[in-house]
Amino acid sequence: MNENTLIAGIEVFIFSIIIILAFTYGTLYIKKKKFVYQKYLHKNLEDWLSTGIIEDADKNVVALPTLKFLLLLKNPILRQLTINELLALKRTFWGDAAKNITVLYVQLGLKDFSLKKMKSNKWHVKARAIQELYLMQQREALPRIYKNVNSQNEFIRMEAQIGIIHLIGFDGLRFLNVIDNKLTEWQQIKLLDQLSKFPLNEDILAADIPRWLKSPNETVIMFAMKLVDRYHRYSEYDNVAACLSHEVEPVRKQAVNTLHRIQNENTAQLFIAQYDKETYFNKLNILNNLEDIATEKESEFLTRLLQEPNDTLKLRAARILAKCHSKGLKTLEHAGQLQAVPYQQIYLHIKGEMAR
Amino acid sequence: MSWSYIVHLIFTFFLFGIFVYAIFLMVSYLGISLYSIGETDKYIHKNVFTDFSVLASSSYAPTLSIIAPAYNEGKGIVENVRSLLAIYYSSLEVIVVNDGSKDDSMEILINAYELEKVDYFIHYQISTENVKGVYKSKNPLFNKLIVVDKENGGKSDALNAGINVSTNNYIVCIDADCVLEQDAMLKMVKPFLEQTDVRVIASGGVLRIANSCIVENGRLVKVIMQKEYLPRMQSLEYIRAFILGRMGWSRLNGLLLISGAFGVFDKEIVIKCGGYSTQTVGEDMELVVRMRRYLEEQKMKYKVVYIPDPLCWTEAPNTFKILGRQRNRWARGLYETLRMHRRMFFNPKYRLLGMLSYPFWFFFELGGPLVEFFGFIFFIVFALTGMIDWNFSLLLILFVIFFAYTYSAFAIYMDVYTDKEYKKRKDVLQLILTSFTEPFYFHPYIVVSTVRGYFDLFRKKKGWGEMTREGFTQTSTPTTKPNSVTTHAGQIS
Repeated sequence: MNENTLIAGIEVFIFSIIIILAFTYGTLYIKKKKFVYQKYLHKNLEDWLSTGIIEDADKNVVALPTLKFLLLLKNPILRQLTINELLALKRTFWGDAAKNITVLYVQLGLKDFSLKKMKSNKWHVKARAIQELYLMQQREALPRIYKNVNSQNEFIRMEAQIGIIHLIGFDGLRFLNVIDNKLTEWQQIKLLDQLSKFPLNEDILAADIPRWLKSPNETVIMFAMKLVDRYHRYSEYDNVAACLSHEVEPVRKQAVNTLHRIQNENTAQLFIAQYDKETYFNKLNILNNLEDIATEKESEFLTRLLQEPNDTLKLRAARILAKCHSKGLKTLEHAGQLQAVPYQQIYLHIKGEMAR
Repeated sequence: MSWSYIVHLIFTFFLFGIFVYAIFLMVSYLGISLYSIGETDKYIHKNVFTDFSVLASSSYAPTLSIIAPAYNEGKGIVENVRSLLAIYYSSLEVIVVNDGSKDDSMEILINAYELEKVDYFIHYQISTENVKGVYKSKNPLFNKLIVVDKENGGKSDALNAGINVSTNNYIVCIDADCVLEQDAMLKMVKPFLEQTDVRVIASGGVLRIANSCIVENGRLVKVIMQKEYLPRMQSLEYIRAFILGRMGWSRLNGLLLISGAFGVFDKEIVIKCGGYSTQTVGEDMELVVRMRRYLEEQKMKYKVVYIPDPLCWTEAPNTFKILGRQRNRWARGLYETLRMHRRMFFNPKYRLLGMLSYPFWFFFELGGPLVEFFGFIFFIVFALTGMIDWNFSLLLILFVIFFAYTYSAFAIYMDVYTDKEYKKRKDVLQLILTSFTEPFYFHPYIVVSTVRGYFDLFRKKKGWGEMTREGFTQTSTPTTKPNSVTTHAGQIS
């Protein structure tokens, strides 16, 4: 450690600061430029869309935008910006306008650009390419997209799975037969959202759901149960009920939720039979689902639950008891008289709730 | 051995010690910052594939309980609650906990939201001060709202009372006077939906300074660079902490702090850990450390997620007096937290938590101000005794100062790169110029306030100290927000 070392260190820092500041202002400049181009692209494309006449409907050819616009496409960054802009427009337009956007995407060679990006080693470039292709309805790319449903990279496989559904709807669910990785709750929500845009395909659901409900991948089972729930597959009742004995806790929880949606007269008793085998949170879930299906037949079980050591479970049981039995509230009042703490407060809580 | 030789030896040791410490500190901060870049990049790319509106409308989205403690916030409480009720999320309950306010907060809430006292059975999973009553609205428009009126017990106690009353599996702890981004809740909840084998126990986002910004009906409508020096300086501090520090720690899965102003937690784990500690004024950090410690001891796979988007806007102190109180409290909170969990210090049983996160906070966050403070005193003593090698000492100080400038410049660059809020060249220039003043004006005050916090610990000083807020710049009706509110529920980091 000497003065020269410190001076050298200070010089390095000063140099770094200058470089960082140059990068900062350079980045600001580039971002501003991009913004200006984006605005230009947006305006051009909107103008084009408002006058966009299909030149040859049979050959899927549309009139191209201005020459200046086309020249911009030589630059790969601007090409990407153009795709982004087309995708943004595609999300807001329907019918012929949306179709014209897709045709333009192909005609400008942007589809080839996306296909080329699919060969990239960078996950985000590849996932982006998949997204572009499916949002632009490029069904020819389906086999290439399908190859990625089991990708090691979570974002590539998620986009591929979404893409398959986006392109062919319920038929695309066949990827559930082959995936090894888990489907996150988030991915399941996105898949269900995609499916909601297609008319129901009874055949596929009838043929495949029983198999998915027995999948070695527990997240596929959970997703299949959500399909049962969403599309009211009452015929799968027994298969879903079998999932109550699955070793994974969230699977059992989803089974309870799904059975509640496709309930029959035995569901409440099925839940009661399951109750004692369950974890605390699944017990809570069973009680939540029991609330609107319990009848007087379940009152004995619910009265027993009032003796649960856990106060939250007591309260939930009390709520159902008060609703399902004409004398439920009386039972609670009586419990409060026998033992004020906590039953008196529980009784008043439920009574107040019912009055509101 | 002569006396002058001993003094010279001490001096050399002191100087060498400071140098070595500075090098370690610089390398650590720089390492974390550089490590954060990969995570930031990943997040930016990942966002292209995320449509949060899908989550907003899904019936499978998790249900949330928002808990907002309030103490003496009567003047702004109506607007703050309205802002919470307007949060863009389908299934949530809003629990406002009036922590024994001395003002008329309760009366104001009762009148504004047509509240009535209800019989409410509370399962005391965490012990708290006495709850005087639970209120619900007679108006179905406000059916998501639950107001808990309790005896004063501090912010932690109020949050614990809210947890006891909550009915959902995830709790959102929030300062009532924060302004949230429209999609903040969706972004914070998403990580919980992405968990597979690794349990997500908490998520937090970037906190930003809202002074000078325009707030309209509880929503931030225009971001403006802070006009006053102190908020602007704190803005830079926040950029450094959130964009570089927390991002890097998040990538390492070593994050110890989710800001108390806005965080989402897995209620099951919070309850198993005993809720917020009332034994510290740094309850936000302490809870995260305790949750992590618990899961380490249970040998469970877990992570604390950090969202690098500005999700929550808060008002920063704009006077030295209030800033000093805030930093004093942060210092005490940090010390108390580290002391409570000292068992983890270099304890391999706690893996990264014990071997890296905890020592980093101990040596650099807790120890940094002490080293600076006593270093400065020694410097004066040596200067007075004529022992200073002025050339060398000044070069050493310059070396440290230029490192700080480099670090700030890098943070500003990352802020621009990640497309956050300050996009104008003028704003960036202002931030850079502000950073140049930091070592001479702002930073010494922060060091002194922090060291005072440590001294207060020995004087057994407890409590938050009062925080006076000026209120955001409003374009809506002026009656909805206070010009000046005294609160002690306003921790911002």
